[in-house]
Amino acid sequence: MEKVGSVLVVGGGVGGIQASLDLADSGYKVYLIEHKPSIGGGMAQLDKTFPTCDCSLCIESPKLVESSRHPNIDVLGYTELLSVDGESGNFIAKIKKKTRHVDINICTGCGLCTQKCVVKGIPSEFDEGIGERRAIYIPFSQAVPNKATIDIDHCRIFAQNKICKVCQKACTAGAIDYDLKDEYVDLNVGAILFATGAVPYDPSQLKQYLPDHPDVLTAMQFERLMCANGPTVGHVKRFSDGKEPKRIAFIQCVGSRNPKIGIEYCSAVCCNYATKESIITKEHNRDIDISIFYMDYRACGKGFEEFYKRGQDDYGINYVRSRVAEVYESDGNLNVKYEDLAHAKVKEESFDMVILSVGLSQPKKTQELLTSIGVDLNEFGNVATTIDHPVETNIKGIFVCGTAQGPKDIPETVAQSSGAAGKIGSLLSEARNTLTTKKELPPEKDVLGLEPRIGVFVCHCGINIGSIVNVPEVVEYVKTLPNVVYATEVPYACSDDGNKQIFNKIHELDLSRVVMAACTPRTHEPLFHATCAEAGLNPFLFEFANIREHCSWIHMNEKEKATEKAKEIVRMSIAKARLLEPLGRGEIPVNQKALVIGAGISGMSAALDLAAGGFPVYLVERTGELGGLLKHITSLPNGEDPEQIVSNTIKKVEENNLITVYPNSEVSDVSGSVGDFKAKIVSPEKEEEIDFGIAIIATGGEAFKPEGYYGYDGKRVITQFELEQIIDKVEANTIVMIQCVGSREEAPRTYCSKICCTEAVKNAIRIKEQKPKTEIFILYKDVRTYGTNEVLYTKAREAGVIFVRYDDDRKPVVNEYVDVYDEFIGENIKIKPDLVVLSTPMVPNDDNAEVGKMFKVPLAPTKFFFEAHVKLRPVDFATDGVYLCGLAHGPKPIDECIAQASAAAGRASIPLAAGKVIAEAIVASANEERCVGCAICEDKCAYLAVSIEDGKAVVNKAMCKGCGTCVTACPTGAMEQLHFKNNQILAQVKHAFAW
Amino acid sequence: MEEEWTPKITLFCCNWCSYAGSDDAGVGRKQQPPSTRTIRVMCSGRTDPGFVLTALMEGSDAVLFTGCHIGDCHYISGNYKAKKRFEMLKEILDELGLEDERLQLQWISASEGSEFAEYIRKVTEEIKAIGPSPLRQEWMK
Amino acid sequence: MNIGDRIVAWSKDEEIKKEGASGGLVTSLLTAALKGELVDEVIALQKKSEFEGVPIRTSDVDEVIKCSGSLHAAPINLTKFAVRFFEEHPDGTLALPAKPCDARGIIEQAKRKKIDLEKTYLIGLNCGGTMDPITTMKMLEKMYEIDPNEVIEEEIERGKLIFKTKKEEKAISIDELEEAGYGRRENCRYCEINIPVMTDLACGNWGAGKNETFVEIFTEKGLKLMNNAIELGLIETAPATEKGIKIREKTNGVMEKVAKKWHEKIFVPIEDRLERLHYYMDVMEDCIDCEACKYVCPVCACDESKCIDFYDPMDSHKISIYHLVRLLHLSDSCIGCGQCTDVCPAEIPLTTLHRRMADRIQTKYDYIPGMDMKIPPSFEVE
Repeated sequence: MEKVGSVLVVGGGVGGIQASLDLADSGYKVYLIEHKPSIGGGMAQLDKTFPTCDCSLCIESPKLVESSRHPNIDVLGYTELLSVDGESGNFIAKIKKKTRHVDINICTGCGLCTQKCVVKGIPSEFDEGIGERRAIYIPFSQAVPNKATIDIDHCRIFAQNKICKVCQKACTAGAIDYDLKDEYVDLNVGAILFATGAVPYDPSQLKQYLPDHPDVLTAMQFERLMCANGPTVGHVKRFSDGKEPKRIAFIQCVGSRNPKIGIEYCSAVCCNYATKESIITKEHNRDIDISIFYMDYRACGKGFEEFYKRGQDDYGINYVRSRVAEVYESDGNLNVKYEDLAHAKVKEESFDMVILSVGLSQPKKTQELLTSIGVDLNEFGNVATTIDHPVETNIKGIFVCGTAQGPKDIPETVAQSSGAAGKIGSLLSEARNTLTTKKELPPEKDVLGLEPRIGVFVCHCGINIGSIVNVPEVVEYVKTLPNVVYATEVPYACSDDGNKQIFNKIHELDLSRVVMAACTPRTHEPLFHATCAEAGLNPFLFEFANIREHCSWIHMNEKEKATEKAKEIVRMSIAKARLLEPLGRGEIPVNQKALVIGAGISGMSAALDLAAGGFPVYLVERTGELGGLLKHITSLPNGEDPEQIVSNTIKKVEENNLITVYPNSEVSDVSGSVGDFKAKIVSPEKEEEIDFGIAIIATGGEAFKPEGYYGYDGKRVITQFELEQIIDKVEANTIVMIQCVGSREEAPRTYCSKICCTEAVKNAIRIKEQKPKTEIFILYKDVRTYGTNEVLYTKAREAGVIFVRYDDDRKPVVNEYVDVYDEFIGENIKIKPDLVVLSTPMVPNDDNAEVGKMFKVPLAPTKFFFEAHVKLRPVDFATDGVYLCGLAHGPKPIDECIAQASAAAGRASIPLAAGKVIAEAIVASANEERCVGCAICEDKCAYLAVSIEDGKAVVNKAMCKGCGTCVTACPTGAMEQLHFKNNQILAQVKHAFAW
Repeated sequence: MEEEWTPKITLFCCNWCSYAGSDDAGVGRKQQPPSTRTIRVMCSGRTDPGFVLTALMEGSDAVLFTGCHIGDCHYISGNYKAKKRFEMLKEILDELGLEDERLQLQWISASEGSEFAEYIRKVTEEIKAIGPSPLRQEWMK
Repeated sequence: MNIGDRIVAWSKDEEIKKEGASGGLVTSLLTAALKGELVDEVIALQKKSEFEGVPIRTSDVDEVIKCSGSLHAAPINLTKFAVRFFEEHPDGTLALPAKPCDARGIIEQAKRKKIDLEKTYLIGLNCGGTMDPITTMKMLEKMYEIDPNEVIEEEIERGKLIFKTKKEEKAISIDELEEAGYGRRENCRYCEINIPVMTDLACGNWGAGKNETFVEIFTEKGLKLMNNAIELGLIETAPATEKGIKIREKTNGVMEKVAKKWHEKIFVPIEDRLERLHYYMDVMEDCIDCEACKYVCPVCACDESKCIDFYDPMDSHKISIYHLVRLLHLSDSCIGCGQCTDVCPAEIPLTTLHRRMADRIQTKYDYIPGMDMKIPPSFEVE
């Protein structure tokens, strides 16, 4: 049957959005459906994200807007999937577009109706019930689509059969139509992706924590409380008396790791979000005492351990290792009764506020839908997948990503989303570009030679800017500057609304320049460029003024000076804007071959995905064999056979005609850039020159050799990795495993290696199964069997593995005996082991620095590669055309490596499939009349893009990367860097000082 | 009470490393004195000594060249060239009689927000110690 | 004859011999270069008076002959005349007499692709310094008590400056003249490059007998110039004497020593930073933005340029960006030729300012501009 070039993405959270964007960019028509009125998912509700404390909506909002304006994405809010028929490549999905009783083609999202509606006090879903909405509502100000919805359960007309029609009267556009009916549509799609997410656990049945008390909130409610666009505009206060709390308790594992309520798994994110919420609370008010009651602190992810450390050291958060028995109220205080695990005592402490760190759970409705379609769920109610196919369901053509597949954080979700998009792209590759359309832009207005008409938009960014910088004052000041014909403040410039306002003003006032005073151009410039382009203004007539990262966020205690600085920053941008010129962009052809460095499971998976999309791959491996570290792993936590996974993958790689494998080889002499790379593949036997369009770095990692730790000798004291290989031959009556050996310590190994706890527990169980009489002790700091691996921890304890916690202050001592302080009995215990196993971290490959240099991509302080953005671009580099996956990015288990590999391949497929990328607009340009042909520029260009022809400098625009080094060198001023011209930068310099 | 004097420092940042590092400092809420005015260039190699001289003559109390660490330049070697120009400029400014602190070079990577903030705090203190630039226009004071 | 040879030579043409200094060799080499079709054009200094020489570019042998004779009070630099030649004739060939600072300017321009050094015959002239015409005329009146209009010949010998009229001949030591503020231009006094070793051959009277020129041949082109003139029967040569060679070396050594002394004397470090800053601010205050210093500069290759672009007269900076950019741009390439000081209507000692910067940069990078094709530090690439 013929494949259909469209995809249905179910679920409009960050996972669904990312997958939709990737698919749409790689040539597929996407239907993105979301059962709620707006896309955005849980991430839109968050105040900040860990571990960078990025403003959550700030980084997600551009993606919301981008997906809503993408010509190949149909964002269908308030829409449900009913059923699926057909087969891979050609499904019929029946959807229900629930009526909002508002004609979305007419509604402008102005919000007038939501202010007039007489039914008030309905708990807002977006605010997790702690805020209110009315019966007609728009969930949040950046909602996409930004349309009103009537809640028929509360509307007087529908619920009480009364004649009201207040909203209809209020609506000047005439969008409200009470007779509108649900619409049923059959979508013909080639594949379906479930990005249905998870919901916060509802703690109402856990009465011991007083879930109904007004000062006991779930973490998600607290998130809304802290958030600038939440019900209290970001003021943390108690609902009982409106006072600011002095003492806050976080209770971890509420609705996680609790077999009594049928939820055994760990939700993987709660420890980190508790620290994040605590840090942000502390940033609001340092005097608030915060205690986090936890069992094991699970900082399993890139940068999380360091974040935890910051919480302890920089913010003084009180982490209490404990089990909380109950919360009860007395004298207006909330008393937390807990077992102090560090001292084996029952204690009580009183707080003003208690936050329940609720886990992630699967809504029944989603489970029923999936089951009805025939998608297998696992024992936890999540979509069942295998380790080597982390984004594929049991039904071909139906995929899954994000928390629908199991609890996980945002970067893992985004990686799976891009991975699923990549897999779908490969599956439907023959139907690529069959259903897509190209966005038509209006003709650009001519601005050359005309007096500039500048519009300035100063963003409050909620309270991110507005609470520090006096935005109205900045606006008033800006109005006094020459050529400024319009200046205004906007609550969130990046919202759909904000963009619309810019669009309208460009038209209304014939603006010829736009200055946006908001956040950083590095993340938000493309969004506003697009808005300008849609309004017929060349995007390069837009200029950013960064008054958030470079002002409000770093001068939080100097509001007046911050305001003065903001004025000057905006003035500098306006000065440059006056001189801006429109630029055009060319297209660069992309060589449709790929290079993958490293043939471990990540590299091989990426290569296979690329080949499946029809792209030839050079797969270069430093060692003599394929398979990498996985070759040395003899069992997997979920019982799958690693040998089979690795041998199957190797077989597929070797049989694939599109993949050329280079064992014993290294890459050198890399030149070029996205679309047009060249390099040498060097092996002892030969040297081959290759050309390719993109590169994926999958250089992997290795197990740390703990020389000098605990008498490591490779015989009696070995590593967990070494145990893995001899595990079936182990002859030992007593085994001691020590966790965190060489990790969570000084730089560069400050990180938690994420997999060692699961490894240790898995191996312990395996030994116990073979020789139940073996005594096994695991000495740990925190047992970090995050996610569904938690069941292994339970299983190990049931099997009699003894877990003894140790502190950094009292590390175990290994001699003939292992001596360790057991805080449970309050004294040292002595164990005489036959074997000591050290759980050591994964460490980065020693040639990362070299590879990084070749491709001009950076390393993090830990020496793993540093991705473009920790949350939203986990497999990209800032450098176009270079991607990363697997252990090169950081320690992680195999399924996550494979998901990242698919993600990297998927992301890389975007330029590969298009066969082109849009060229840099910001390039050098030589003024022939001025040029005296001195050739200083020619020497300066590292890309050989400048040459002297007939005594004049000539720039090759395809080769020029736009660094501007030649421009600086040029003594005559004949060489200019477009958008960073000499007069433009000079204007900025001078206007920093126009007093 | 007279308000404490805040120096004004012109900061040239390259798009890929130091500007990103400066953003990182913001994201991490690393507090800094409000002394800097940032000018974004794509590469430190674009920092024209003429801009630096102009900033100083306009009354900037200091000018900072920043960019990717040597070896990390997004454009291969722009920062190396920036360093050379910086060194030459440094000699000229010293000969002109300007204090050493008024022109500085610092490499900052995209992930070094803390280092960035620390550096800005340090430079601001240094400039406070030596006082306003002698090139400030009299009427500015 | 070989590269590296040191010889003496003189013109066989009586007319040239009579007018030209030291046996008229340079004029003969230029004439021979044209006659032998070695070059398309030559540049020569047309003597308007003892105090005025105007460079001409010509392919007319007679014109060249009219230019014979040495001039000490014509401190013009020929670099930009050579640049114009190559702008008009990119494939042409050119010969010209070159003082060390002419040659250095030409080499710097060659680095900037404005002159094709392969096609330029540089007939080097030893130089002990040149004088400013106006100052010289004043000096004649005050120190020599001679009417400048009566001067028919001038010469430097044994540290003395000699002027001849039809009636008399007067010699005063250069030291004495310069102490009194006369004598050579300031930049010449501290110039340590007297023998133009960067040219094709160096000509001079040090170590030569009466009516002959001491020649040192440096390059293939230098050899060609000599052989061409010999073949055309225009010059005669003889090996230099050991004594002559020694005298030449000694004279050069003395000149270098004197230059060093002058350097110390002129470039007194201003230790105090603020004082230094005020010195620069004060001397540049008088600038009237005429840009003459830029147009006359032999190492500047620009037409329109950044130093002008970055400068706005409305800026009211304490030091103009125009000069600052020039100070920087020239810091590695300034050859100290003195042209900028000569032309400055506001009498700003620009050369001194430039040398203050250039000395530091050129020492730091161990780079002497205009000596060879080694590129300036600011051109350097990885």
